[in-house]
Amino acid sequence: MTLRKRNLYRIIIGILMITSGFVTLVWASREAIIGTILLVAGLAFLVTGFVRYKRYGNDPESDERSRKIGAYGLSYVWLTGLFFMFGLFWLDYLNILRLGTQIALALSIVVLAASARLYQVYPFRKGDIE
Amino acid sequence: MQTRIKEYRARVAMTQDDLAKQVEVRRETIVFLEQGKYNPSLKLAHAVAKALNSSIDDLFIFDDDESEPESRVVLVD
Repeated sequence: MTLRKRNLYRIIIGILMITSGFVTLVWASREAIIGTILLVAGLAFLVTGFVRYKRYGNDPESDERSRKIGAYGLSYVWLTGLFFMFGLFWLDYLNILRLGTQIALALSIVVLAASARLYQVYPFRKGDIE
Repeated sequence: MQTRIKEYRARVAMTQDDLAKQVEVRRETIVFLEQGKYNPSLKLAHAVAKALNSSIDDLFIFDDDESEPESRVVLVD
């Protein structure tokens, strides 16, 4: 099982980001947020590279079925996000639920990320979107 | 939709993995194709038919093809 170029790049980028994250944390301790972001992002790249290498090896990571399901899933995610934000707006406007900008944004990120996963699980098990 | 991919694959002694590699898709896609759960693009259907030395018509059977075999018109010179 050879390491595909795409996964190799993910691993290299991950290592570079982790290293620069460490350097930033050690040498510029005032920039703790930047260092932490670099560390976390680097770790995400590294783990993705290894997991995809282990899972797919030389096989294609995506094909027309996965791309089709992914595209449909994302369009449903967009709609979900729209309805969610619409709901948040009216809750705030009618003084039913008042959230700060940070919490509203964080909630939106969670809803978008979670629904992106959810909308793909079912069609992947079913086989197709139709 | 039903398919005869499994039957044709057995004829040429090809595994799902081999076919997937040949037509450059994931093995799961071949599994769902064989179960008739995935509607492939014309490009993939053509690639599968070519890999199995067959034709799209032989491999893919649509429900309306099954129910009305008498209604087919055969043109003769």
